[in-house]
Amino acid sequence: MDEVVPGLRSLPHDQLVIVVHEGKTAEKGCTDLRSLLDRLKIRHTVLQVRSQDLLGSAMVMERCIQEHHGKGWRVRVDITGGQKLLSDAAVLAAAVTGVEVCCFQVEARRLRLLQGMGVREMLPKAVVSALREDQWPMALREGKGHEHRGNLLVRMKDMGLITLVERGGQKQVGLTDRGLACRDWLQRMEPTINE
Amino acid sequence: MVAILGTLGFRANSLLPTLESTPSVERAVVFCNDHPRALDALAEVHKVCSVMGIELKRVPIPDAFDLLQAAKAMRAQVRELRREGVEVAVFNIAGGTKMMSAAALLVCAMEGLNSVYVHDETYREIPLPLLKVDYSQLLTPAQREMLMFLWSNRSHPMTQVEIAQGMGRHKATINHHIQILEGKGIIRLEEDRRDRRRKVVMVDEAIELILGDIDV
Repeated sequence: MDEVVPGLRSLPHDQLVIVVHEGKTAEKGCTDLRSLLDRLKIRHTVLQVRSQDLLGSAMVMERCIQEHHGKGWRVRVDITGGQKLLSDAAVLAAAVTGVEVCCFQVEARRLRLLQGMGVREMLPKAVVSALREDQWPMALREGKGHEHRGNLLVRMKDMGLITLVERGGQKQVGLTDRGLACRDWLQRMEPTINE
Repeated sequence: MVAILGTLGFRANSLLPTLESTPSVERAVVFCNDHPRALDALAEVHKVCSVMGIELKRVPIPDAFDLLQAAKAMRAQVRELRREGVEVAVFNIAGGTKMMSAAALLVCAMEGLNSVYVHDETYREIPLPLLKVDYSQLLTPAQREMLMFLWSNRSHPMTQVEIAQGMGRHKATINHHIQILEGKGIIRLEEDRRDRRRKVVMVDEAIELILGDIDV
């Protein structure tokens, strides 16, 4: 709880969103913090994430930041408390949304990040549909069969989303780690994308 | 040549699993500060590297709590390695302070590097599939030029008229770009502290991350 106090004292805020590892809301640190916030009459909510899943945690935080931006709130992310992985996820969410990152370890450090390009902005519609709907890996022949398809695959290769893999002596086109991450993101954010 | 990068704090064990698991690694670049315990951990990493025949390079991070400076030092290393034709297999972001780890993560996202985290207790590697945060696509050449001008004159914040004069452009053109950059959150218009009637254009520290893209 001590890790949150410097931020509480020095950052102007009307609401605090506490990001907690899933299932740890009942732990002493979290309950003590919530009771302090209640006593100080600070509005707060709890956001639960799986800190081992960095990308998933970052997405949950990104969505929360976007929701607040949508309602006209100004958002800052304080990474002082919690596990390093949780802080990393918060930094990633801040990088995509362009909000200020603060850390109060040793002394106050504040850094405004600039809004980067998230998956939503980076992926053209055709790529999104290929990632979501196609079977990966696919036979190289299948990919080359159609001119548009071939162009799309070249584009995806340039974006670092696909690579050639060999399976059972046959050349196939498979997703790279980034490709898998993008597909993962698309699947998890499906409800938001369809809205 | 294949290299791995890693942030290092007080525990060599946060980095060693990546040395062991990365195939054909010939060089390890380690970012750590001058704290005696960090140097002890570095000595341990050095011993392992010697046995494995891996070349070890240490890049000092003078202030382990300065995210921006750490990110700049790391990004410079990545680019130096690429210029040398070295393939960066993975960046281990588990060691060091939170700010060092966060800086490494940002660099991975900006440079499109694979990154890995090592669990504090089990020492199991957790691969982190990242998405690319590409600042370079946010700007047109004219906007980049203006940002370079603002950054090099950041000690004397200027009004839009002064920028137009300094860059030799029409003030309507400057106003157009200023509005776009302000909309993207890259610059801010603030009252001049010395003369509140004047509105000056301010750039954030993080602009250096964008300028890094321009330098490529």
